[in-house]
Amino acid sequence: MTEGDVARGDAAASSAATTTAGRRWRGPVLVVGLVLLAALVIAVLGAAPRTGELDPEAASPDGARALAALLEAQGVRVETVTDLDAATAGAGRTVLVALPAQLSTRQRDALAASRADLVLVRPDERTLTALAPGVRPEPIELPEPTEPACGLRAAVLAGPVDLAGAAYSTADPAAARCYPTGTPSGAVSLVEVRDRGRTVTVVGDAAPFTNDVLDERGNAALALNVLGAHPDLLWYLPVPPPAEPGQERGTSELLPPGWVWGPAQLLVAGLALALWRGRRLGRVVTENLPVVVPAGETVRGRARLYRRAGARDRAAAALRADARRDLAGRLGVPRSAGDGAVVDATAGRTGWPAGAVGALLAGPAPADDAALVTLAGELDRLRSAVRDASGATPGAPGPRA
Amino acid sequence: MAVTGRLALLVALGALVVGLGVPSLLGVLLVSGTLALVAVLDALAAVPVGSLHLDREQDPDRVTTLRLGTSLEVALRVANPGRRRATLVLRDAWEPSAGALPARHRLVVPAGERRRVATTLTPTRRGDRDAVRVTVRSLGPLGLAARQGGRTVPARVRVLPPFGSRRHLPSRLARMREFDGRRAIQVRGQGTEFDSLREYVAGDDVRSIDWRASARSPELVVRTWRPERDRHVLVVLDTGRSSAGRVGARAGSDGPRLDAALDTALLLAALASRGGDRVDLLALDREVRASVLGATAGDLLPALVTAMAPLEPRLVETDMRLLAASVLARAGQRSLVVLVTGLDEAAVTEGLDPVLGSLLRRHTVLLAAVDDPELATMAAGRGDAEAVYTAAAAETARAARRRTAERLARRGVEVVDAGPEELPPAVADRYLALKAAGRL
Repeated sequence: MTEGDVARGDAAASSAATTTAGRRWRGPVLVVGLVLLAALVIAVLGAAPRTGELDPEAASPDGARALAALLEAQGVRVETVTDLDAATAGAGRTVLVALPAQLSTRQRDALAASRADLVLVRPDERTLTALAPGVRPEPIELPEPTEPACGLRAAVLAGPVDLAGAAYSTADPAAARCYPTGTPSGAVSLVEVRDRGRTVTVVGDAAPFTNDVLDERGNAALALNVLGAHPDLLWYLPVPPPAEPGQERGTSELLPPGWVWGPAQLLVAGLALALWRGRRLGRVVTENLPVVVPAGETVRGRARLYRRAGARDRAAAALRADARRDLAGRLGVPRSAGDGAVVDATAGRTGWPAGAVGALLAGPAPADDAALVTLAGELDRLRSAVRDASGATPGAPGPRA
Repeated sequence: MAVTGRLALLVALGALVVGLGVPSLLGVLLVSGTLALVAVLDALAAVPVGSLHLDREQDPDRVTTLRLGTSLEVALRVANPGRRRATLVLRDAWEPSAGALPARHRLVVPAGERRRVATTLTPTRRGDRDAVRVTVRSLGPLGLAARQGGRTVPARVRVLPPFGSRRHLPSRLARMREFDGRRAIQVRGQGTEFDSLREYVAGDDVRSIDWRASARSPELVVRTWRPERDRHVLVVLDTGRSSAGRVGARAGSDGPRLDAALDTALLLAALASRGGDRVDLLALDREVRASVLGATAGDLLPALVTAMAPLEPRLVETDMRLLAASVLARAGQRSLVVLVTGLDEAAVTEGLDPVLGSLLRRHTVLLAAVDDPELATMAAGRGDAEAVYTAAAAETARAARRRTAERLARRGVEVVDAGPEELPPAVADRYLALKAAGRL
């Protein structure tokens, strides 16, 4: 087999491994990819939550910054408020209630008590009951009123507008009913009623006031005339007020009475669970296992004893004796010849000074642990020197020859 | 009585009833009490465990055997003589090292029928493994509660030693054939015995011509020789203290020295019985633990593994006098006594030495000892003081082993000291060498 074959074989093996790994990971990778893709699509399509709805500061399509600017240009002071009491909203002012559905009861009561003219944008039934008595919502989906068809000045001036929102009806004969939806019930999209000396205008859709379509058809005319009746306009974006002191309620007070018994039953379920899991299928089985002792334990114990006693002489003697035995065997020195013969033969073979070899193989005990470690290393070095010298001897081919 | 997860789930769902319907202590008591009552009734409606008949497929008087490392299926039969369907959860419990799986069985036994439940045993160690107890949980018709009971259905499997050294057998058999009678040799020497007389053919060694036989025959006749046969080999296993040491990492499992000793004995027995020798086995420490005597060649290995299976090392000093006496009582003719034991200096000096003379007088003694490969690893340790002290201690231990082996060898004992993996083939080789030299 040539080197090229080896390389090709390796390449084939590694590519096979890659294929196997790829196959194994394909499923999970595919799933993760699909999840990411779905997340991206949802993020893009479902992006841009409605922000700044009828907010006079907002430049988004749902905002009303353009209308506010136009009103300012016409000399109407626009003041944005998030909470309102009856005193602030006095007579001779217009209050635009942008999001009536968000009014709290207290806020609704405050508005009812005020004397300002009101413009309600798509109010819900509760707001209608409180603020525009006699006006009822009509269950009509997406009415498309086109013509004013009434005597209200603002509507007549505006002509056709975008009022595809809610529809209302009223039995008040004095009410102005504009933009009829054409249903037999007589539902309309804009109602103006007089209530206790003030004008309440109910607009079925916020669209005419928004940046999006303010410049289309008569939207701007309608909005300016409805909102610009007085020089002061309070733009009311209701925010639920914080709980008043002394009226906060803890979490438990919000829960229905007797809620505590449900969890109590769950505790009983926990007991049943414990009974289920705790019951053993038969008793634990025991078994007599044979004694097993690690064979090297006595040797390790003796090593620790040597160390604790600082028995460097014994340790060195053991290491030296083994080295002498090994060298004697390697150099062919008879066992009866004694240590001196081994030292001489070793020195002769390696060329190390006989004194050094003698000190190494049969010298005094090392003075400390460091010297013992050094001695062990030196003995190893001597043995490998003898091995190398034996290998290099002519006529005796060693493993490296 | 036992409850099920289904009951726990129902009680938990009861929390909805209590929380939304009757949020009061009364509601809790009502829901829990009703469910408890239903559970009790369900348990009462379950088939009583005592009415079921349990028995084994295996013959209870015969011990089933399997080799360590293999699996065995043991079957339990469950009969339902009643008139109701029994839905059961059953556990056939065995000793943990029997490796019984699955731990629990689910089964349905229709009225008047019988079902078989199979548990697979994969033992993790040698020896006899007993079935402990069969526990049966009989579920009620709603599956909310159960009756539970147990019964002992005796069964036993014998896990035989694995004989991992079997792979060394073919090469040793081939070597034995080289001097076996199948290739009759014509050179007379030590370790051979007279085989037969046959006619001379060209090429035969003229020195093997039997002149006396040729004189009585019209043809020239030569004698042929073959190695000795029908010798006696007695393997003696020491199951005492020295056999308990756990040695080295033997391919996955580090067993005690005894495991290597069993492997050695099996390989030697397989080899010797093919070589025409009789093999006996003796295992003892303070008393004789196992003994296989006079088994025929065909029955030998099964008899050996069956005898070896329950052997365990014991932490006692082996009684060498008993050993010598047992050997002398069992080996009448001159035998090869293979003694698998340790090479502890003290144990040999005080235990074996005094009785060795009586053994050597009549027999050839081969002492096989399992060396710990970790000793060599420890002896090679260098670097810091702890490693060097350990190396020194290891060297001391090795020197003592060597000294003991040499002393035994001087007294005429054949000593084989090798690691757990190497010992079986080493002993087999020594046996072949002895056989070839005619020293059996």
